[in-house]
Amino acid sequence: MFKKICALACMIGLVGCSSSRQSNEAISHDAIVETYIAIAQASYEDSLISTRVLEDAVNALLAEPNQTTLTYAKNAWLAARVPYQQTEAFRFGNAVVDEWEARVNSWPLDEGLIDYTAAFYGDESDNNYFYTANIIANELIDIGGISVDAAQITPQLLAETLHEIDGVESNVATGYHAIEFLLWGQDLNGTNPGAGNRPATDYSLGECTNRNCDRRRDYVSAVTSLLVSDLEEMVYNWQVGGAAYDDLMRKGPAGGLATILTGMGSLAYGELAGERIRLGLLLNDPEEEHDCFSDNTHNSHYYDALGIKNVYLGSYERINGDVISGASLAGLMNQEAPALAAEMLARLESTELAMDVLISEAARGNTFDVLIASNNMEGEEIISTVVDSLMEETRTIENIIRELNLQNVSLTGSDSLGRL
Amino acid sequence: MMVMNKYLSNIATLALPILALTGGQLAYGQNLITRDEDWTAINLTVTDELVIPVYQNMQLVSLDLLTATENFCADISVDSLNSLRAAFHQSMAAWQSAQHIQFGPITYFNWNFRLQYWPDDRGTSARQLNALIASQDETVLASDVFPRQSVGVQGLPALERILFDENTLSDFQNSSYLCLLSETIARNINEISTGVSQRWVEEYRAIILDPVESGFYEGAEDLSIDFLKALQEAIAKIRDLKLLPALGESFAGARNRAAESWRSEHSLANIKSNLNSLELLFSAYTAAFYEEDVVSVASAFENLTATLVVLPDSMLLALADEEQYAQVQALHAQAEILHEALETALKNTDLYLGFNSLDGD
Repeated sequence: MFKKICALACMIGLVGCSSSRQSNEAISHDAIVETYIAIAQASYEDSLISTRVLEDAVNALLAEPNQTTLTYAKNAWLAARVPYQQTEAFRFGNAVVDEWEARVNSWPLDEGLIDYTAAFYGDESDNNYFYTANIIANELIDIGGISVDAAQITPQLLAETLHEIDGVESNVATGYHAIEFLLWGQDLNGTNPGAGNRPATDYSLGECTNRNCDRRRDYVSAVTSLLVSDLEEMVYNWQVGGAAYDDLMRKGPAGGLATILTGMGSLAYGELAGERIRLGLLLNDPEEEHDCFSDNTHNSHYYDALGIKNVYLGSYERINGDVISGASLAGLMNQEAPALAAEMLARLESTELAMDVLISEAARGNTFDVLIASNNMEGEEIISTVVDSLMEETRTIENIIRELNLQNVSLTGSDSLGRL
Repeated sequence: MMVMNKYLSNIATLALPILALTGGQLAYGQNLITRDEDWTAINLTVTDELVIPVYQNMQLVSLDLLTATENFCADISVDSLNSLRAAFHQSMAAWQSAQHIQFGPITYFNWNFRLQYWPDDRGTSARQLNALIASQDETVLASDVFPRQSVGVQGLPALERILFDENTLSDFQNSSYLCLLSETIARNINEISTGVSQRWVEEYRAIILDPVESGFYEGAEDLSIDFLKALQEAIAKIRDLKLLPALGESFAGARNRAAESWRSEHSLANIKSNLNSLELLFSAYTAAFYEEDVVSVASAFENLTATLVVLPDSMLLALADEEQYAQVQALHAQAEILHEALETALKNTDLYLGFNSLDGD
């Protein structure tokens, strides 16, 4: 652990390192925002690159549906999550990203909108008339006075008609999790080990399983190409003159720092600790895990936490191994409030250690859905440690906001969390 | 203007002496109450008159609920079901009067979520209850096991789902497990209510008296802020969760089922209970606010109450009629005005409410 802390300290100039910034050189707010934008550009580009690989893999699956090509597509999806999850630190605080995110990483989803489901899923929902609409099985849908002509499954149909149809957020027709469902299928193992196990023949025209393989092929193809185009849009948004870039410029340097800290705190607190982690523990419900079909939740949470660390330290390792780094909030805090800077490093370290436990438990077969099972005391302790670490991290983020005297900062909370 | 006079009388008795002490030099942005003992006096009044009695009432009526559940199971009939449903309404009303207090003992052992998991956007409670009933697993109902089950099967919404179905009577006649489960949930509700009530009396009241000694708070003002946060967040909850989703995008698109307690047709009754408690809570803290802000907030409360009083308890009934739908829309708008008025009142003082917004994702 000491080595890790030493390396972090070196990176932000806490200790003397030949390559580190001079400790007496004032770090400007502008420079911090510049680094932040550079990391956003690089991480969204990486997300796009890895999703194009996913698109190729899905095409290979459709060309020859078998276990090998399905596994290849699943691995491409898992790899695509690595850079994308790190971008989530840019979501809160940047309205352009937050609005767009609903198309790309919307969760949780009522998967019965898309395809067949098992009996445990049920056949009705108080809030969602499209709970079991099953677009893949139905070319024409007429529910609650809303008619949908789904004869042709196209990116346009998914994005403009089906996604969040009837104003219900869990009607998720697009994005990473829709693709995840189409590759893995429902996880039928409850809180026991094991992920979804969709057969490759669900995409076979010759040996079709679970019917409507032609339409399922159309769906997975459309939804993957849509994700690529959505990511292209976000890459553009972060270039000079793009919507996200311009928004940030308009906020000015202090507004930029407020945005960075809003993104860090909201992701750590309301979104990650609350909605994505604690709620699952309260409900002991495997449907309440972020990557519930693939059981990749431990990784998604880990890379979310890493994304927070990236923007604070002003450093991001790209998928090709290149490192983007520059002036950072960490460096600024080290100059202005060294004790608080050290506290924040310790918080990031604690969170990383807690996330490491999630990863190692998953490697032993104890994935997130296993850990949240009722009466799994050990799992509850592990999950609670993650939540507590994220809460502590957020408290320190609040202290940084106060220390920098930043105004109008509001961190997103969660109904499932107590107050900070 | 009776309500307004009530608030102004509070100002006369509490705020004016404090203004006198500070030489009348206060300006916007400053706190009107500066001494810890003044905050403590209000916090203690709130605790003794608006918190502990509410939880003690919950404890009493939830015991009635348990008794009514046992009586129903001993003699399954229309009459005993009606009695049970009436007891359920009493317990829900008692909880609605305390629902805004989301700090202190209610947060111990996840008691708040175990009493009420709502909103349940994904129908988790239904899925889990159906699975539990299908399993007929009695080991889960043991007193040391049930509290560790999902919050989706433990509290008032779970019991409501079982008791307010059109087939409730025949379902109970055909399944003894439903009785075991209902009694377990009712007992759980009573045990939680008892626990919260006792902890306030035996532990948290001492914290109210000496918040610094407890180590939880830096001063009595912080505790007052907790009460004021409770007030502000509860109004936002009424606006954003209890009214807006049910209104939908239009009269034709209204969604009764998105409302709290829609099965028992008490969605608007809940809000009446909420507002009664919230108005009393605000009236206790009027000394903390500038007079014109108190008038604004009081007026907003008054308008909300006036609209609500002519609406039925049932959101289903209210949304079935176009004129009443418009009244529910007005209610939502008035909740927004109340929230803004309170926010303005808070901003005009130096009461730091933290960075958290209520909205999750």
